Parts: sequence; C-alpha cells; structure tokens
Amino acid sequence: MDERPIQGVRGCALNYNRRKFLLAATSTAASATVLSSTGCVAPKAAPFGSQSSYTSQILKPENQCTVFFWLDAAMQQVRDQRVAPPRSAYNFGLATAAGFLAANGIVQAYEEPYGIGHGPRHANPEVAYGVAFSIAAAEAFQQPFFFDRIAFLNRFPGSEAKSLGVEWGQAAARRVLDMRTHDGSEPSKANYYLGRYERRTDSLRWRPTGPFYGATPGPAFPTYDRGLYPGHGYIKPWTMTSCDQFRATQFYDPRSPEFAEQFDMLRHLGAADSAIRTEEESEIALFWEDGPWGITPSGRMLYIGVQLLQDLELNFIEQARAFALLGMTQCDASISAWDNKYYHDIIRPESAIRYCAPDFKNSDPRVVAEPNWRSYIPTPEFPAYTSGHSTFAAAGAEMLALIIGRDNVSFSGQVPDLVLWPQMSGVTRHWTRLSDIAEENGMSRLYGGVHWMADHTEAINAGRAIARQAFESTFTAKA
Amino acid sequence: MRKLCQALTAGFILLVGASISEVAYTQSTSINFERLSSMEEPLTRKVGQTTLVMSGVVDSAFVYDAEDKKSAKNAGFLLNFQIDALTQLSNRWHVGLSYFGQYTGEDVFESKSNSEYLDNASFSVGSSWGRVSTGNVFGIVREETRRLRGAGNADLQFDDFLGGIDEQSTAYTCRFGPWVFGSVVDGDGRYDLGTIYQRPNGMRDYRITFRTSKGSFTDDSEREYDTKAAAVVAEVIYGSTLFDFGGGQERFESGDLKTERWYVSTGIRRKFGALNVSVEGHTGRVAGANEKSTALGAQYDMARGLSVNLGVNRAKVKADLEKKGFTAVESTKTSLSLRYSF
Repeated sequence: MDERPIQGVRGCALNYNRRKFLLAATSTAASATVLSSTGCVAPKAAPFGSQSSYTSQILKPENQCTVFFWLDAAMQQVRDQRVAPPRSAYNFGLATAAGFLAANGIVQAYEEPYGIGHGPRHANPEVAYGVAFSIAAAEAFQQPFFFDRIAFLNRFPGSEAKSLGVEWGQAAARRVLDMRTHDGSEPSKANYYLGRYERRTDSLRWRPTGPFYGATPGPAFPTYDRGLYPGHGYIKPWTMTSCDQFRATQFYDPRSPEFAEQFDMLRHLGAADSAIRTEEESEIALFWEDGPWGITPSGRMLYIGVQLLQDLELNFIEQARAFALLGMTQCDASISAWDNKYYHDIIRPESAIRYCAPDFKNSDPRVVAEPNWRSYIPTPEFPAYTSGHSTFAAAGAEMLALIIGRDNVSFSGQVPDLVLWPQMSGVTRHWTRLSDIAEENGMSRLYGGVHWMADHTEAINAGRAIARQAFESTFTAKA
Repeated sequence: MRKLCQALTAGFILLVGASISEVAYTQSTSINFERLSSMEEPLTRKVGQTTLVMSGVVDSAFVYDAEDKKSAKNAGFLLNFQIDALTQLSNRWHVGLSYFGQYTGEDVFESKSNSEYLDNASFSVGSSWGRVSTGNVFGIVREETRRLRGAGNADLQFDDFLGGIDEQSTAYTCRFGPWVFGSVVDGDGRYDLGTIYQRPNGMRDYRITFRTSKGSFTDDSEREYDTKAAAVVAEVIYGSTLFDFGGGQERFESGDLKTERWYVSTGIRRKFGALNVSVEGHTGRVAGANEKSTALGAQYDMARGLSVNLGVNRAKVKADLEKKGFTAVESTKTSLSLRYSF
C-alpha cells in the first residue's frame, strides 16, 4: 500500500494517506446513502416519500402535483429554520399568492386586484407557478430554494412553453415582491414596540412569561422573553381592508364577575395538575400545540388543506387559487391576531394567577394569587387577547369549508411534528365537521391554561370573518 | 471580602436549593414586573425604513480562583452594548451596520483585552443568496458550528481550535434547505469554513456541524505556528434536554517543527422552568500532553433580562515542545454573577 501523503502541501492538515482517504470516502458515501434514504442529505426540501416530508404523511402518491410540491418545501423550511408562527403565516401568504398570480396571469381564470398583468398565452402555468412561488419564498425565508427549483423544473421536458413559463414566473414574482417591499414586515421582525402600540397602564397589562408548565417531556423555552413581534399587526394585509378591520371589543373589566368566572375556570381547567381537565382535553391541548417551532399553527391549516383538498378534483388553477386563499388568509389572520394582541395588551393567565390577582381588585374570593400555579402547556411570550391559534384555525377551517362547499367533512388527523411533544406519537383524532377543528384547536389553549375564553371566542369570530370576506371578494371567477 | 463571598455563596445555594426542592418550576417571590425593562423601549427607533436597536449586557461577577493563591477572590463588572442599524433596500437586499463596545472594570471575565474599553464594528449586506459581512466577523463560523455554550458562567476551556484567524475579516453565510454554509477569510488568506445540518427526525431534533480552519497560533514561548484543523459536533435534543458531542484535530507547523492536537468534548444541558443547568467535559492530547477541562453551569432567570449565573470551571494542560513552553493552563474557578441584558 502506498503510504505517501496525497496532499503534499506543508505536510497536509490531517495527514491523509491513500488508505485513509479511501476509508473516509467509503464511510462518507455510506453515510450519504443512509441520509439520502431519509431524504436528509440534499441541500433542499426532503422529497415526497421521505420521513422529513410533511406531504408524505397525508398525500396519496397519485395526488402529487406542483402545488403540493411547493407547499411541502415551504412547510419544511418553516420547520428547519424554526420560523415563529406569525412569520410563517406571512411567508406562506407571500409564496402561495405569488405562485397563483403567476399561473393566473397565463390562464386568466380569475379576477385579481393587484394588477400583475397577463402572461404569454403559451407559457406553462405550472412552471410559472413553481418559479414564482420559489422566488417569493426565497425572499420570505432568505434562502434561494435553488436546488428545489432545479428539481422541480427537471420534471418538465424542455419546450418553449417551459421557457416562457420560467420567464413569466420570474416577472410575476418580481411584481409581487415589488408590491410587498416595505409592506411593514421588515421592522416587524424585531421584538420591539417601536412606538406602534401604547402599553396598558392598568393591572391587565401583559408581562413577560416564564416556562412554568407541567406537561413532560416538553421543549425548553426562554424565560421572560420580550414580546414576540409587536409590529406584526402593522403589516399590510392581503385581503382585509386594514390591519384592525376585525379588532376585538374590549376585554373583561378585571373587577367584573365575568372576569372572576374566567379566572377561576382557567385556574382549575388549565393547571398542570388540574383535577377537572379530562384525559381527552389534555390530549387536545398537546395535539394542537404546534409550537414554538415545527409546522406552526398556520402551516397546520395548510397541511389539513392538503389532506382534504387532494381528493376534491380541483384542476391546477383551482388548486392554486384554493391554497393562495388559504395562505393569504392565514397571513391576514396573523396580522389581525397580532394587532389585537398588542392593541389590547392583555395579561396571560400565568401572570394573572401567579402574581397579579390582588392587583385586579376583584371582590370575588376566587380571584386569589396562586404563586406556584403552572399551566399545562407553555405560555407563549406575547399578549393573550386574542388567540392566534383560534384565529388561524377559524380562518383555515372556514376557508376550507367554503372551498369544499360544506362544513360536514369527516376526517382523521395526527400531529405532524413529534419532536416537540413525543407523547403524541400514535394519537389520532377524528372530526365530522370542519368547524369542529377550529373549536377544538382554539379550546386547546384553554385546556392548556394559556388563554382566556374571550381570547378564543373573539378570535373565532375574526378568523371566520377574514375567510368569508376573502372568499367572496378575492380571486373571483371571471365572467 | 471573605464574608461577602460566603454570603453570596450561601444566598445562591439557598436560592438554587429552594428552586430545586420545589422542582425549580415555581417562583414564589417574583420581581418580574418589568420595572427593570423600562429602559428598553427608548433604545429602539425606526427612522424611515431603518430600524435602530441598542442591546447590551451589564454583568457584575465574583470569581474565586482556587489555583491563584495571591488573588484568589476578585470582583468585577462588565458592560457591553451593541447598536445595530438595519434596513431593507428597495431591491430587497438587507443591509446592516453594527457597532459593539465593551467596558471591563476588573477583568475577572477573562475578556483577554488589554484595555478597559474595546470596540469593533461590522457591515453586512444580504439577500436570499446569502449574506456578506466584513469587519470584526471572524467568529461567525465558530459560533454557528460550536457545541452550545454551557448554562450561566460555564466555560469549557480548550473546546475550540488553538489556532485562529485575524479579527478583521470577511464572511459569507448562506442557507440551502436544512443546511447552512459559512466561510470567513482574513487578509492573510487564513480561513474558517463550516456547515451545519439541522432537522428533526421523529421525536428528536438533530444538529450536525463540520468546521475546518487554517489559522495561526503563538505558543507560550512566542513561537508562531501555522495551524490546520477540523472539528465535528453532533447534537440531539429530546424534550428540554440537549446532549451534544464534539471532536477535533489540529496540526501545528513552524518550519520543520510539527505537532498535533486532538480532543473530544461532551455535555448535557437541561432547563427546569426558570433554571438552566449544564455539565460538560473535555479531554484531549496536545503536543504529547494531556489536556482536560470540565464545566458546571447554572442560570436562574429572575425577571426580564435579569439572571443569576454560576460557573465552576476547571482546566489543566501543560505541554512543552522542544523543552520550550507550548501551552500551559491550570485553573479552577468558581464565578457567580448577576447579569442584566437589555
């Protein structure tokens, strides 16, 4: 065996000889084979069929298509970059809207209010969709989706239609991005108020929360973190007339009997060691947690959309429209919820029950501090009112019901990410109506002890209204 | 001073002990009422399309050095701040300008600066294709690829290459799917390259990093070496527990003089409510001698930005090359500090 160094520059860093090099190459190839079999080694989204792909969990192989390919890539990127829930909704909205607007520019099936224009008649709309989606997603996620785009375009044989599709997809994406540059999303990435909302001065004022929760095993959370994205409610919406179009009414008076009732209910129902929460309610609390990273609540609604709409016999442009409406309304749901959160600036049950009960000056003897109280699930680091989960779920479920044409849809589901709550492995839940998933998702936050009832009820109303308004007024069929 | 030390230690033991006894999940006396955070908002501004943010840390520490008989006990404080100006251009490029300043009262933090005040700056521009940064950015790859720092004041010594590159350098980082790639090059052509892969699989989250570097090292006898090194880190997260393992190899060359170093490090970190604890260990060989270090750390969060931090760090190595000193460290330090970050 030749033992001479294969790199002779000043002795070489790691003293490789040919045998070591071959061993290293063999082991690297073996590792690459193992990793690629799980779809993990390539610098792109894991392909359909691999363990890391979300659509592999729910999509029938025969239903793979352009829209689902790109949705999977975006959902995986949300997980891999640990994108926070409101930001993931923004990213989904931007990418799904750009994809649809590019394809619709060619097909001209639907009205659109953004003036993207007409694409070449002979361009391939699916190619245009993929190119526009990936370019917009690249800006949203700040990663180029380069290898994903190559893998996608390799599915289409070379043709003039493909070339025109690529050109138009790029042009349409640029127009969408020009429209959304300086839409308020950039400064909203910082966890500072920047004077955008006045803080409350009374006892209901939100305070930073800690990871005082009881479910185990559960993820590690920062303690007393700054409020997440106080400016997210200032982002220009897609379908709402303004950020505050669906702003909630005032929260309970902390001295009122209604507040005392809520306080007492949360203290008992949402406690880590609750004696009144049923096993099923505990399961529901974890089943819909979807955070702080993973697919996130808005991604979960798109995931359910993939599961349900794959069998609806929608053609390509109808499918693209359906997911654009879902994505854009999820984005608007995040804007509406975050506007409410920082406008109302309402305390979380954790802070209220542990420390602040005496400050409420409520005469009800049940409103007492319980310094050792812990919620069942972790309290997120932003104000309570209104619930993001309820807004996302209501907007998503309502939009799906409008697209499908009915609410009574029977289906089952599992948790897409087991890394946060491994105890959800093998848990399957069943529903007979779409509105049930919104209700269950929103109520999960009360079972978990992190939201008041009003957070849920007001958010459900807002989410539904966002979906209805968008469905009626956005991307209507051309006469 | 001795009484102060005893009082601080006793207070901390009581604090941690009480926390652990009631499983550290609870905080019967909270001072988390944002009084300490009132200075945060005036420190951020939006000017046109530019966001200005000032952040920083104030840390006051007490350090006991078991190996230093002359000045075993030391107290000191550190103040640092960073001002960032961030904006997005109309072509959607992100531009950032950062200034960092640090004032060290008594250098119990081993900031390794020769002056009380040090500062540096960097400029970056980025798009979806990655970010180019220049200025004091030499640590970008190291920070991204290293084993996670221990909790509180834990400082696992030797868990890095001895050789390094110049502080003033240029970096490029980019992301493709679950991979992040980084590179830093200084004016002398020395470099630091790294890649990170992170993605959950089933019930666990995995992170794997690889780093390779060409740098320089000056030993205790002031002899300069060219260094080449490579390291890997593997990390697994399950629930609130993080376990990681790292290993590296480094070669030193100065004319005909050559020597090697290898090491492995491992650690476990867990969060219990507001208490974060870590245990880490390191062993290796450098120039034929053993190098060993251990670090225990704890951080107890008291309020927004306010924490009590403990670190017990032990390090020992004595390596000679050609009967001249190569590297020698022996220290056992316990540090307790009160830290406020804003």
